[in-house]
Amino acid sequence: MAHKEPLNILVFNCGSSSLTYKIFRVKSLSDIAVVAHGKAHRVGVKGAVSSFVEHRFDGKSEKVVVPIASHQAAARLILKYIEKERIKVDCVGHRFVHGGNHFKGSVLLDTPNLKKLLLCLPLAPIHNPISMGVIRESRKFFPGLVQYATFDSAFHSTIPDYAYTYALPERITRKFGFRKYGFHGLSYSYVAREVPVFLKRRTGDTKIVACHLGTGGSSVCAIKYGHSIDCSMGYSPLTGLVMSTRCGDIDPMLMLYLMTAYGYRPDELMDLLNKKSGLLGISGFSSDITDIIHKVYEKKDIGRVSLAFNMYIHRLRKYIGSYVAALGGVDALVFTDDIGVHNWRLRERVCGGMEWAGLRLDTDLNSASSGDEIVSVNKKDSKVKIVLLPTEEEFIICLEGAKLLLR
Amino acid sequence: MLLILDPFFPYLRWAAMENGKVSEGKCLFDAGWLDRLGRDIGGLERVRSVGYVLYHGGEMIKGSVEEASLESIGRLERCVKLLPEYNDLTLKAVRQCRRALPRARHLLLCDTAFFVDLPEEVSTYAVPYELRRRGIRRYGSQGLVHQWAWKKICARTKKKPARAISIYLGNYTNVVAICGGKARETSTGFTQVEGIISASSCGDIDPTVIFQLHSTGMSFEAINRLLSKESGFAALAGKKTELSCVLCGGNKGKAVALRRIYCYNILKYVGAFVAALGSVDTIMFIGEDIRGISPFIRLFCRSLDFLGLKAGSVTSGSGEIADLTHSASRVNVFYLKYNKWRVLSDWCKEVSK
Repeated sequence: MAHKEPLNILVFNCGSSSLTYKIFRVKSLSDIAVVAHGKAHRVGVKGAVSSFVEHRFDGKSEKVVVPIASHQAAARLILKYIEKERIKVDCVGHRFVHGGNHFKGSVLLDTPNLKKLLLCLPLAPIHNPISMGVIRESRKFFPGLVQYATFDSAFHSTIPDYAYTYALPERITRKFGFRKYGFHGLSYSYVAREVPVFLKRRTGDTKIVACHLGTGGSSVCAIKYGHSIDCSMGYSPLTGLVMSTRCGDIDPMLMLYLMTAYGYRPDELMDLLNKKSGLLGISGFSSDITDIIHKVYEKKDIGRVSLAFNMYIHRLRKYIGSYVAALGGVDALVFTDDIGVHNWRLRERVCGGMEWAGLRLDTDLNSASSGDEIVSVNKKDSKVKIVLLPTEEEFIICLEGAKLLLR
Repeated sequence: MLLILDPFFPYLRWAAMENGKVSEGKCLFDAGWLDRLGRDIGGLERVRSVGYVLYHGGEMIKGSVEEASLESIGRLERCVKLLPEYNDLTLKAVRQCRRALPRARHLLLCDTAFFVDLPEEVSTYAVPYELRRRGIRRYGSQGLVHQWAWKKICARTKKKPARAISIYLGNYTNVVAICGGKARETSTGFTQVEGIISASSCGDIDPTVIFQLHSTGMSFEAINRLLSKESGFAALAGKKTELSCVLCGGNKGKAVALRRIYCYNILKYVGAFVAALGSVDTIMFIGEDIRGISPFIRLFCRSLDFLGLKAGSVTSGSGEIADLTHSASRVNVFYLKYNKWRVLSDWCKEVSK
């Protein structure tokens, strides 16, 4: 597999208001190092605090405060920095949240694939167009370079039909592509790769329930022998867990009721369920679970704030239970992403009373963990391992590219 | 004679019971319904008590069975809007019968009351809390059946299961978690569409689907019809399909695919509710046809192996309750035969005790 020349891969990862980049030097699939990295913050956000870009390269760090109107503009700033520092780039990798039925794995962005990408834009109306802007900018800047895209939805392409099918007439599901797609696939494919290695188990006999708990979106995934078999997010990222401002699971008829009986306009309701619901809607205080946990443990203003916390925990526990059942038992429960690895109190509540699944948390290990590196926090005699894994989405994007190019 | 009235818009289904004999029928709810019913049962004067099924008591009716007093009729009026056609029928029937039968006992049998006091984190949707104040919550359904089943198991085993999961295999299949006799969770939501797929409704789907459909010009009425009347088994099998076909039907193509989706739906709720309860000691299945369903139950129970649950063939009992618990099982498994009139009359007797 080893190449004569190491390959430098620039990876872009779009968040809803940020753009992270990393440049990796790839000697082989098992020898990958970070050369430079940085992040554009508060992209497209209007507010009192201004937007800025940070860069770290060659022992230096640089922070530039500058208005950044869009992700495409952020990409331009980053590309200019790379040019200025004369960092070698051989290829560019992009993250695309939702590839629908069009993409089952990572692809090189040639003309036919770029056309297919355009078809995917409406599938994730917030995230996909942002990624498209970054792709356009990179192609303009590096017209001769190989570019590729990695899809979050691809990891979930193994979900079986009985789990992804919505029980709607086929003429409807086929026409609109309605089915469960699942999200946070890059993060889960990292879990599926790293956790068995960490636990010194074979991927082929490890059953994992993974919780990707982020500051914005959160989901749970059932991973059987390395493959996703179910995910709490569905056709869109709206379903599943109680999130910061998204409602997660609700009765579908509720939508019709709110529109017909309460006179909500459809776009108004969509906005309500995506941006004003979840923790924010219930607590009326904050969309940030960390704020909410602090408030609950300070025992101030308990009412709706503690209801929001209890709902978050209850829904998460239900999904863990569901997926333990779907997997027919579990070997590891994994917490990943910022909230998952950094909130020991949340994990303590989630893991309490889960002995039925063979799960016993070591509360001391749990509260002492930094969350900065992979660690297990279960009691020694716990049948199920409880693992905290900081997510590495950019690394997965790089790895996907290396696999495409080093073949 | 005990008379039970069950609204089935625009009809009333009824059963008259006396000395163990049951006669039943259905009448159109029009101006002359009560006279016709009187003739059918051999005279209204024979009726000693009347039970009225109320399908949606909202947060107003808190007892599974309660006297239909003037005061409770006042509360009943306020929950008509939750299920207009059915509740209105119940309300009118109560009023007219009270007038026609002033000496009889009148009982409301409320199907949602079991779930009125669900823990708030269970009954609340994660939408702005203001909507919860306006009645947007999880109401549950078929509380009369689940609670009846729990009581039956208590009587049968002479102890109260601490943590039970009740699975109703019928029209609108649903799963309920019961902790010490109180409902702790239900798969039914604001309506019966949420939860497990039924003969014609879609069960859990991503609500974004509704916006997409609406944005292509589909009307609310059409979407409503689609989700509640044209989905579920009918959509997956491509034709009207009874639950009995799903449970005991063939082993080919679409039948298998449909059964797999149905089972997976139920399995996920069972897992979720074990987590909500913190463990489970009893699982009860409720269905109409015990002989036909027991192979299905045994098949389904295999997927619960991880709970240490093992179901055997019917070990003891016949008639209403069958014990399917295998001697090596850590969880008790029961099957209860469901007969609507039996369940409702048991509730009426409950009050007379």
